[in-house]
Amino acid sequence: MAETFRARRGRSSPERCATLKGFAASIKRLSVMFAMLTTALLILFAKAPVARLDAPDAFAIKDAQIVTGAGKTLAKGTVVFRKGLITDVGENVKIPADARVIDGAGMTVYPGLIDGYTSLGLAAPTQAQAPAGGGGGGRQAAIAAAAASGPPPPEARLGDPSLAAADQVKPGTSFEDPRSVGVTTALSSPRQGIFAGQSALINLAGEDASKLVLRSPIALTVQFSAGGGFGGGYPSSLMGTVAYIRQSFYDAVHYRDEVERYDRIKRGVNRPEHDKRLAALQPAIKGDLPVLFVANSDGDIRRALMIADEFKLKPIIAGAMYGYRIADILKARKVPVILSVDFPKRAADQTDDEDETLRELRQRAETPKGAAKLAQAGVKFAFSSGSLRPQDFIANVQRAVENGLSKDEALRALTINAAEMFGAADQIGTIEVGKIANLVIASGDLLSKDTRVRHVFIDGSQIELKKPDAAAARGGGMGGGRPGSPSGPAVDPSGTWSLVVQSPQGEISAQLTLTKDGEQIGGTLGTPMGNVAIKSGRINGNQIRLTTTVDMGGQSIDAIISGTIEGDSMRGSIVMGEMGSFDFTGTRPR
Amino acid sequence: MKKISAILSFLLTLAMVASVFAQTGSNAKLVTGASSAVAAPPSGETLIKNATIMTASHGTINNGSILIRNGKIAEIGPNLKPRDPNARIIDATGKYVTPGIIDCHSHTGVDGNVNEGSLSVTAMVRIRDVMDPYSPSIYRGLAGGTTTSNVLHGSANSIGGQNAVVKWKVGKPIDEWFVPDAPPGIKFALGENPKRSNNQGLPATTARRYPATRMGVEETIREAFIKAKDYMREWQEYDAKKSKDKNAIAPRRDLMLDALVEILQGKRMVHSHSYRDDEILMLLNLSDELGFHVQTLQHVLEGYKVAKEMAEHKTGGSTFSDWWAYKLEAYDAIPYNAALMASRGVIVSLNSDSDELARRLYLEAAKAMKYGGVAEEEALRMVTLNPAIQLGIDKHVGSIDVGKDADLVIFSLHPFSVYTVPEMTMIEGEVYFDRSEDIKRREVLKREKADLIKRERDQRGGGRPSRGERPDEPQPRPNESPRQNNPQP
Repeated sequence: MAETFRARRGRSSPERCATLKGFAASIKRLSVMFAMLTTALLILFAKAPVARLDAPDAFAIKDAQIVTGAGKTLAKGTVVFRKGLITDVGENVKIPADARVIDGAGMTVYPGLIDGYTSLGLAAPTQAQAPAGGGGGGRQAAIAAAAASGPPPPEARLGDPSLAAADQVKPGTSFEDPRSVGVTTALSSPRQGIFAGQSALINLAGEDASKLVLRSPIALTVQFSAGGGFGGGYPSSLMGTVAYIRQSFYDAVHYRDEVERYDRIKRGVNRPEHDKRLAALQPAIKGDLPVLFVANSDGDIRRALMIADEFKLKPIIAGAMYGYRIADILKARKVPVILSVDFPKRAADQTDDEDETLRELRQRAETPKGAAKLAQAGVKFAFSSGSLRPQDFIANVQRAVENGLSKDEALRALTINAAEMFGAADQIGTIEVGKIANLVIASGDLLSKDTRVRHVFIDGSQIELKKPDAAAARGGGMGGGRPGSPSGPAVDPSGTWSLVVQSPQGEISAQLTLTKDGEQIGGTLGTPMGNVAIKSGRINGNQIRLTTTVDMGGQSIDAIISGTIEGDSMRGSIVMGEMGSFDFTGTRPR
Repeated sequence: MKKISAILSFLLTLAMVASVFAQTGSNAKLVTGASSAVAAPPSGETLIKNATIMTASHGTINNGSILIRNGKIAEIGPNLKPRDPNARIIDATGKYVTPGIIDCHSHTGVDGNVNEGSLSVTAMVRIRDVMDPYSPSIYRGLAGGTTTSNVLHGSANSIGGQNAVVKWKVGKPIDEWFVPDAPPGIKFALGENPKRSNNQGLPATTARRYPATRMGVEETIREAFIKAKDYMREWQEYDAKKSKDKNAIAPRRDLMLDALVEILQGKRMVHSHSYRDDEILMLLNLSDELGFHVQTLQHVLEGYKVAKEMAEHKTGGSTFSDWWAYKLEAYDAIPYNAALMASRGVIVSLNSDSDELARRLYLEAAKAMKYGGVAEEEALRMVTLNPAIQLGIDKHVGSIDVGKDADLVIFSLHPFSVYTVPEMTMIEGEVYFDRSEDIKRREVLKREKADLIKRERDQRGGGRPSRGERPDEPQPRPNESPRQNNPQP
């Protein structure tokens, strides 16, 4: 077992191989008995969570209302599935003798819901950069190691189009919340850098990575995320990002020409260097692999379509919050849209409505109507949760329904539309014989507020549902772990803190001077770019949350600082809009 | 004393009204798009009559009319009649009409950073890719009569990005904003800005950017063009052999070098940020050496010292009316710069480089009369016809002449009076700003905002009342400050 493990890992990294050889050597020196014990434990651990010896092959849900999603709703019917696939559905269905029967009386069965754009199952980018195999030191060690090795590689900014979600996804606790609201399937995409990588369609259950993937690759993810203003490399602006994307596709075209010529002639021609990034762009410029542009504003959508035209790409737009403004263009060009329901919100610390611009007020009033407007224009769309908590995902789809979207259309967006967009309509999206048994059994109409999800089946296996954690903060859909809940008595954060922020260009020192007035925390944040006032601050136990706005080269960027205080030390992260999240550590000298 | 305080209070009121209309008005256009004011009559005919017409090309016409048909100036004369009985008639008795104001140096409406500051040569980036049609500053500019602008990359790089020459057609799809046959341009920058943008002051792990001196700026530009010439040759060789050699493949297309090749071929205009006479001469000499043309020098505060050389190079000057001493290299600036350059035969424009000043360029022109004794029409040309010439679009805009685009501003008083107010701004015969409509809309917008706030508050189930409802608290601050997009001037 250790041999296989070593061989596999060794191929992927020569440096790691050396350490592992040493590790293997020391294993050999251990007693046979200990090795056997280890093996036994490993087998136990591997099997324990899924060892459901009593799980039957077949299930039948009877006497339930069945929303097949295929144009027909059965008022009272039965669904039968066996070994992961739907075998029968209808009003008069014979229930096999060996099936476990679930009485669906009073309940409604739906096809499993699909979240159209997430990074579920993928490690957060910061973790991906952490030194591999670094057990023990944990997060602090990772930060220290990152700082010691200087600025991270350009991939952090530029992304890597050869990165495939299918090779990286792992089942984990981040699947629990989405499942609890009926999401069985998600598009999972790497999301670091401009060419973030290739997405995969995954089921949110399975004992290991190989069981998750339904289809891969689905699309190449491209984001207009500039590297940020910390004196980072090219590109650092939106216009630079557009130029970088265009240049990359021109480079891909040139690479194709070079490789084709070489393949044709070989003799007398120098071989082109292999370039994994440009090689990964080939299916996109051939039109075989769609390109998913993350674009919320109508400006970003126009930019995406301009690039798609220039290189004859097959675009998908994810986000599309303001896509309703150019619904006619999206319709005319038949662009698939994965519509985020992460609607703009009133800032929790906004004390005075009059301070807000009419523009912002209008955006909040109009974005929930966007889905209805797209539907009316005939644009085909699926939904994505953005950075919402799963329970808010469905709640916000309900808001779209309250704002004019029909329930049928909402349900199609959550199921078959997504399945069709991702080329998986023969696998999922409706309750039909032969399709994968991804099913949601709810106490009633799934798009009504008081409805509860009772049972979820993924690949025909019953999922143990976890009650969504009401206290969990945003970010559950992003693949990261949920932030810790408040613990211990309320601490006083007052004083001057020295922070070290891990930016893409290295460490940045910052000073945080805080004052406490009741539950309100105020103060200033000092960075090399200047001092800014803390706009709002709260402390809950030892969890602190501060908001401020920093000026980055003429752009105002909202920053959210969240941290955990232990004595005179603090650690946490600063989220700066599209620039991303930066970890920090801090101390308070007394 | 009494008179003075009366004037003061009048001015204050004016200023307050102006700021209010710019704020609320901007929102009117943002979402409604084509409002009723924008719609032209079906025939496309508009008659402006009884106006004092300042043509900027052939003097001032008293009590004249302008007939607009299909977006163009069809006729100018004393007593014109439209063909269409339903044509829109605007009685401009006692008012002044000027060409739409053209700003030769703007950063208005740029989405994201106006500098791609990571490299010192970024000829591949394009302003047209990042125009934000929702920027409130655009409508504010229209309210000041500004119809066309040269939107430029910032000045952090020796060779910056590609410009966009736009007409501010708020409510129209962005593709219709770009002046179709405006020659493409690019921003260059000399002196303090490109040399100090070298990442000093950032963490030690951040790589320093070359150059850090004026010498380095010159060398950076030279090196870029030498590369561009190699690249041009590579393509020429390919074009020559591709028909004979079926195995020939096109060279790698390089978006940065493409733009530099266009400059060498005279297809792309150089607009270079500059201050000092020495660096101005450096660039003119370098352009002779490398074989390109400098279309305009921007800011060019010491242009009066080298006006002869600029005129010989047919290089225009686009300057500030009276900004000086705000940085070391601006210490030798004088407000007579525009007049002195013009007297030596340089085509001179006055620009804003600022969302705020873009609303008052007519007063900047007035200053050229005050400081340099420039004739009235020549002063007006500095914000109309001259920038049009500098941008290569004077065939269509810049003066009130038959056949040109009907880009017009109607002023309440002489445009060089400090009491004047732009009442209407048209682009191609369509009204994009109408002061009387704007005043009417303020109430509507106020109600809309109150309704939206109330609806949100009801949904939240109560919540704190706003300040306006509590008399003991101060009045709300102005709620939309223009985005400070103005880079280092």
